[in-house]
Amino acid sequence: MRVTDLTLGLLTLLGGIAIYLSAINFHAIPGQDYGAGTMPRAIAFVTGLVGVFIITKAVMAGERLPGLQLAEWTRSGSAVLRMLAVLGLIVAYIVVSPVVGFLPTAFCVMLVAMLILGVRIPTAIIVSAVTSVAIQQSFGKLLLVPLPRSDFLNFFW
Amino acid sequence: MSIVIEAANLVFQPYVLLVIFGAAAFGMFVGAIPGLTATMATALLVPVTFFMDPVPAIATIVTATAMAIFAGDIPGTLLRMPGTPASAAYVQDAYAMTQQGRPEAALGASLVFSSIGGIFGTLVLITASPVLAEIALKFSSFEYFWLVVLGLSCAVFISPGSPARGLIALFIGLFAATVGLDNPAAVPRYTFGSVEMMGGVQFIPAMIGLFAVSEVIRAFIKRASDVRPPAAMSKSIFRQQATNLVTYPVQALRGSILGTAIGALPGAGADIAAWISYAVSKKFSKTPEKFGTGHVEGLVEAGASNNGAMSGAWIPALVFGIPGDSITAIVIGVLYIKGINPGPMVFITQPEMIYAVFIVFLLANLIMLPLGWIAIKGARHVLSIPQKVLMPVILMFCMVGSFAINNSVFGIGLMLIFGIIGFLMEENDIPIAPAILGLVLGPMLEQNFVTSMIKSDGSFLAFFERPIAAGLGLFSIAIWAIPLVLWLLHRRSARQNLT
Amino acid sequence: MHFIKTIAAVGGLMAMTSAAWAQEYPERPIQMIVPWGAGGGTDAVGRLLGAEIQKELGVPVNVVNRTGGSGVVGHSAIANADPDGYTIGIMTIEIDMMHWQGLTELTYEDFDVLAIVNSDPGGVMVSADAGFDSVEALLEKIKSEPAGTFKASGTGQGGIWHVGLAGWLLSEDLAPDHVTFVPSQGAAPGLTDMVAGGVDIVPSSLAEGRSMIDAKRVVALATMSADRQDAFPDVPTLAESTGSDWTVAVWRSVAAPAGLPEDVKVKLMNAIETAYNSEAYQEFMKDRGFGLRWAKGDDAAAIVATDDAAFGEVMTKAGLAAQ
Repeated sequence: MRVTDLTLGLLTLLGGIAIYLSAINFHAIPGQDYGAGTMPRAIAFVTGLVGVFIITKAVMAGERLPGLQLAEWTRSGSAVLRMLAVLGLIVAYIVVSPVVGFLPTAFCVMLVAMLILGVRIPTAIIVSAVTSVAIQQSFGKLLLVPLPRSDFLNFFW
Repeated sequence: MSIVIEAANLVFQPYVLLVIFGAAAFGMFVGAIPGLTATMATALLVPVTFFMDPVPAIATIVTATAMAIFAGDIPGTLLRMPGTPASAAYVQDAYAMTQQGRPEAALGASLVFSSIGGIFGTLVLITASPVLAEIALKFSSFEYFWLVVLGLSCAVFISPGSPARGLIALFIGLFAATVGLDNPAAVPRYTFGSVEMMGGVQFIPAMIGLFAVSEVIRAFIKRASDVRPPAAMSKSIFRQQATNLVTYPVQALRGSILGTAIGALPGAGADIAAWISYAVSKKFSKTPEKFGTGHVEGLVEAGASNNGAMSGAWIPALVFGIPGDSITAIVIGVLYIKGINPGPMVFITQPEMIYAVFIVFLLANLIMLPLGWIAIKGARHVLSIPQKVLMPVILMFCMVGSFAINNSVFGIGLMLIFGIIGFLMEENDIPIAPAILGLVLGPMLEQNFVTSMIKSDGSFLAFFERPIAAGLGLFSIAIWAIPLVLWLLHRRSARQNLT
Repeated sequence: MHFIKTIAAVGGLMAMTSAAWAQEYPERPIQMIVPWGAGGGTDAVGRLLGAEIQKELGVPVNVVNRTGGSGVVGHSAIANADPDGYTIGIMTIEIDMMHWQGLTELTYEDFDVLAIVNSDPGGVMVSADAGFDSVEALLEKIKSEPAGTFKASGTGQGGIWHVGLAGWLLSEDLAPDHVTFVPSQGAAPGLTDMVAGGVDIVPSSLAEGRSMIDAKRVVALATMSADRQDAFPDVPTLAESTGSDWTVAVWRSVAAPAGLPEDVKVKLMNAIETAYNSEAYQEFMKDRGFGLRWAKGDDAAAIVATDDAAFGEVMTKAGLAAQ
């Protein structure tokens, strides 16, 4: 998903304006001229300048209308699905792991990911199982990272 | 001299050497796992050191951290998952070298020049601590403000493409840094009422997202082919580095000096040092166009700078008990518990202890070479795993690493968001590195600017009133103004030539 | 065949573990949340106390850092955990301040305070170059100069030493912002800045400035406590020198989410008491220069409540409380 220079400039300018508007209510430190709003406003100002600069350059180069070039992969339905799948797997881990526990969630996430990429089923099962137990042992046991517990697999703890 | 022998006797004990070796292996393991930091390694070691004598206790922490910092380059180089913001400075070059089939050359450079920078920093620590610490103590918010401005200016110099795109990346990072409560006014910004958002955007999950997750997304889109990187060249790891040392002696020295100097400042550390050194290296390079395409020169300089800063951070720590970073903060605590009170007196009352610490430093930086060699040889095999198997495993490590930084799934959410941002940035040729720089330096910029304005009762002139601040300020303005003036002059003469 | 055996084994283990539920507390690792970063003083206290409690209870006590938001994130994580005794945490003085600032609804009433394990009074520290030898001389100079001439630093905006400074100024009949407060990321950066000439006063605990005091870069003029501190016997109290009755101290406590079962609470309090009295803990606190203070259960909760009211008053007067 590639935007043209003119679009990028417009987006940057809009971003700057949005940051400025969002910072209006950040008040200064009592008794001072500066505070929470200083930094966002400075960022907004320079971002806006960069946006104007890019727009000027694009217009001078002959661009007239903002546009969007779709990368080649967006034309392949399965590629788009695979991209959505990997994002979905991360969301699934965030939602499921605190409830079900680390081991089963990690195993399933890796298994599904490997199957999507076309790994053969036995290999995928073995690698996912070994990796999830290895991570659980090294992070959970050795490094004391409190990975979510799973009540029905807690003999690993 | 007798003090040195006495100190050596404290260190060269079988038990102490064994401890150093164990700590080195531990540090290597923790550092090589993305998402786990050297600070975390140190914190985990603190309870262990309670039961040790002073020298092995210090040796444990010093060795583990030195190793962890180097090992952080391993996932950065092989998988484009930098372990620390410092190694993010040169990850582009290191990863490009891996893709060209030269991961050992990249890691070897990182290893050898890390060690050189570390040893240089230690020698400075031994010989010039008190003098340097005096200068470091003169740095107030005015000086730090200019230092941060210099650091941010690097974003423009290190951007491979157009400066405008580099600035967009920088401001994405700076904006992300404003989220949360930890700003000088202690006002919650962009938190939308969420407690987790008050903690702000931690840079480890953001970094994992920007670099690694965006790579995973791309691999899924392309349905990770089975293409493996080309085989390694047969040249030995160390012989290549001898060549590098002959080719880039100035770079190695410059990186070590700059790194140690910046590291000695309590308010700045390895992060800024590595970025500034990388930018300096590109600026003065004969072949700046090669930077970012798998060129070893910047790696040499920034790698040396990175570890030089690690040693430099000990200068204010030992001389005044002022921590330069979170690691020295932990160690100062341990020193107190062991009855060594950091400060000028310790050099007089317990010189053998201080010299023992120095010897440990040198040992840690030397033991790094063989152990690092083993780690590189071992880690390289990761690359022989087919991508379609490796990518899901990397995804898992990304999630666990982002979780571990603050023990919360919020970190994984951050990682996901920055993964998408990073993916979109790269689709549009916006470089990622400046965003990390903005994220790391943003809070420092804000803190030092706002507090300086409070101190000066709102007068901008205060930024030039103190001698060091004035010098740094004029220098910062010059590096922006001079290219602009030259460009304008050039344009004018071009126009006159036309007419 | 193998597969069935594995299933059977797993089933057996599951049965064993579910039987373990009926066992007495504690039967699995306890998580101790520290709302501040690895390496800081609170982290060190938590880790050491955790190691001692672990010895006492016989299950691992894992220290978990939940940082950010000036402590709000970590304190919320403790309060929102299940009150089953498997999540405890180090609660710090910020719990008595952040709700006044309007940062959170959370107050000490959302916790079961198990014990207070440490306390460090605030102090008055100046740079050695400033040439003050007593807090009276400093106060006189502050009073004679216009408001805002003197600057102080040592915590974030509205942080404990900011409140401590405002409270002291109020007790000396000065405006709470007569000395301008410059927010910093903590006592160490504040002290460094003072030595570099950036600010004039750091009102943090003397323990935090010890190495700089030893290095003769910083002079401790007073302690904001009722009695002199053991570690600094030469430093007078405010009452002795200027006659101010203002005292302020940071404390660290062990707390659990409110609603702990009574038997679990008693068991934990006893384990913490043993840990507090252990040689390792006592030595550690002395070596670090941290103040020892012990209060258990309701006594500890009363201290927390008293401070909460006192801070509310000062913060409102100083304009640091949310309207």
